[in-house]
Amino acid sequence: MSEIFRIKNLTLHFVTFEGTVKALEDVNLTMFRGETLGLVGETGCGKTVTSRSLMRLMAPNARVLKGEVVFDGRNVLQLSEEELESIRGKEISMVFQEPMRALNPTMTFGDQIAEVVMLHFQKEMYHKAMEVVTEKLKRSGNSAKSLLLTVHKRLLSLEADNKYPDLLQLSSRVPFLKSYRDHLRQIVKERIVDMLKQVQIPNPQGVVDQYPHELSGGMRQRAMIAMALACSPKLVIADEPTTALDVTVQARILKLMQELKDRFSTSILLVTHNLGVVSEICDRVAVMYAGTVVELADVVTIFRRPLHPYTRGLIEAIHNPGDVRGDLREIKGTVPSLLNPPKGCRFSPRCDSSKPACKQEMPKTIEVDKGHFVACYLAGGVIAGNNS
Amino acid sequence: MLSKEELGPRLKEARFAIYRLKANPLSVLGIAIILSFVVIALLAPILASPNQPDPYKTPKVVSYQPLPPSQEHLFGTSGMPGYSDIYYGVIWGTRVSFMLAVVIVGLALSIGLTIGSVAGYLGGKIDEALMRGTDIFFALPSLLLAMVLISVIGRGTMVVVTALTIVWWPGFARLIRAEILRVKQSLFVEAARAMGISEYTILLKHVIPNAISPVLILASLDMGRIVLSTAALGFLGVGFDPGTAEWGIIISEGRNWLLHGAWWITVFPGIAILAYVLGWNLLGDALRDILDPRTRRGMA
Repeated sequence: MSEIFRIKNLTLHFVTFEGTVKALEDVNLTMFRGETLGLVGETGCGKTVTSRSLMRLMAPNARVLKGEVVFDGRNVLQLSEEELESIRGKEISMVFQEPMRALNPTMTFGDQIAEVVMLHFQKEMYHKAMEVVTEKLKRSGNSAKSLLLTVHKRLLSLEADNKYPDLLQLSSRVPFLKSYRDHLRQIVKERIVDMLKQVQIPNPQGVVDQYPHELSGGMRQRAMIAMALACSPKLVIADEPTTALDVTVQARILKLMQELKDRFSTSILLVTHNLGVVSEICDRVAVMYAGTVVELADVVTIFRRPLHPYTRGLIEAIHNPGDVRGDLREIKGTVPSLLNPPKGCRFSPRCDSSKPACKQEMPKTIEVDKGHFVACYLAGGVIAGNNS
Repeated sequence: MLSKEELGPRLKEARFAIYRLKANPLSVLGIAIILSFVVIALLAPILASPNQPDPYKTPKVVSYQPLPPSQEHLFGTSGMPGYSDIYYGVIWGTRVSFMLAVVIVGLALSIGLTIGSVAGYLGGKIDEALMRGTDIFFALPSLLLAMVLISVIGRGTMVVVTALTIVWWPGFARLIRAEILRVKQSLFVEAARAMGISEYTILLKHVIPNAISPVLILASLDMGRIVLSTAALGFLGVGFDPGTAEWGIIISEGRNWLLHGAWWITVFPGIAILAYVLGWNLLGDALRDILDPRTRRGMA
């Protein structure tokens, strides 16, 4: 399996009025093509910052102190703004938590998806439109119509090559001539309708002309997914994609994402705090705590044999259907302020089994089993215990 | 050969908009008032034959006393010292008011939109510099500042336009900046960035359309307020050339005669100002209903 991205020793701080927020500390994470990787942790532990760093979408006050983010062979942290814009949306795209807020309320679904498609597939769309015109030319017997179509084709090819913008500006206002763009619009619309069909939106023809507030949450999220997949990206970052949805809709959206991942041969980085979602669709899971990756393993191992006390705490905190009042377990305390994180292991103040060593230095990440990484002093001991 | 694809959705939006407007009788009233003023302004040469050589000056009707409304002078005349024909002044004053309002609001809106959106979207030091600049204008009473500017530059309608534009744009800049600051925090702006859309396109296609409706509503209200200000300037005798067909000037001519029973000098231009400002205020409310797709389609 080849790598799609590798985050190496990424240390990232935010400079704020109150001081430096040490948001990420030596984060290491690798993802392979075609897999679904879950990134799990409590609010404010750096999941979102980590995932956004893949596109270098960072707040202006973020400072990368060290490390690199290699996506598809390129270090994202060193790319120019133009190169980044060609990666964003085309090679990596995002599905957001709240589709209502992530969609522009003043644009129809069709316009929003068309914007992205035209941005990254301009050439391809123009060529397809030209092919269609060529087809129509062959079939048309009327000579006046043929002449018009020939001119349209010429205009399309000029626009595709970005030549003579003034002439095109002019011809897009002249009656008859200006309809050359209709061929293009038709092609783009077909593609959008096709995408909406893929995400199982009923009546895609109508949804194209609808505004975000006119659809239900589940439909909006489907449209968001369609938008994210419109450019067949190599990686889809799904940031809590089901959190804002009804429980009954969640499962269907997850299933849809899983199906589409295979159909579009893409990979999904699933950012969530919901272990139920993780167990449903993820292949591997990375658990983050207070800006560090504390455990990384395949999904079965994470649930069957969690080694880090924090992972164990998270799994124990899952609410089972059989539980009644009082059975809900929690991890004591809260995530520490990253302005002034605890010395040593950042989880040690909340850890039941912490030892003096834990408070001295941050534990190194070790591979306890093949593909099972843990950053905990106790993990070694667990293995020793199993062996004896 | 307009294709259905192109016209369809726009026609549909227009239908929603009309439906919204019909639902509110006050919107209809506002539109009716403004439309009738537009008609008056357009038909001014027919309603009152233009005064030579300058139709924007009221013809003189020399008499020592104001003449009451009659066949010859529909709304009466103003007597000393203006000797204006009130009917002519009200009709051609509509043109003057529209021109003043459109030009001043247009200029102020473009300056304010540019400065406000640059300041709001870029933020940081540029924002500080531009906003402290606009604060200077807020520190001074605007009408007073306009009068000072006029007395420095000179006289004439263009001078009034320049002075009022200078004092008017900061309001727009402030509002636009505030709206842009709100919108640029939105998740859909971040989503657009994550889709690889360039900053310039994000500002034009995603931020400004979501920030513009309050600004357009303010612009519509200001179309009325501008005329209140020009009327105030005219009343005070600042800026306009004497004899200009401007509602405020005519009212000022009636000031000394009001106690002597010459009500028509004040009442007719006063009604014109009242109706004009009211019309724009109602239209502003109507715009609010139709600009936002959420309210526009809400009732459908």
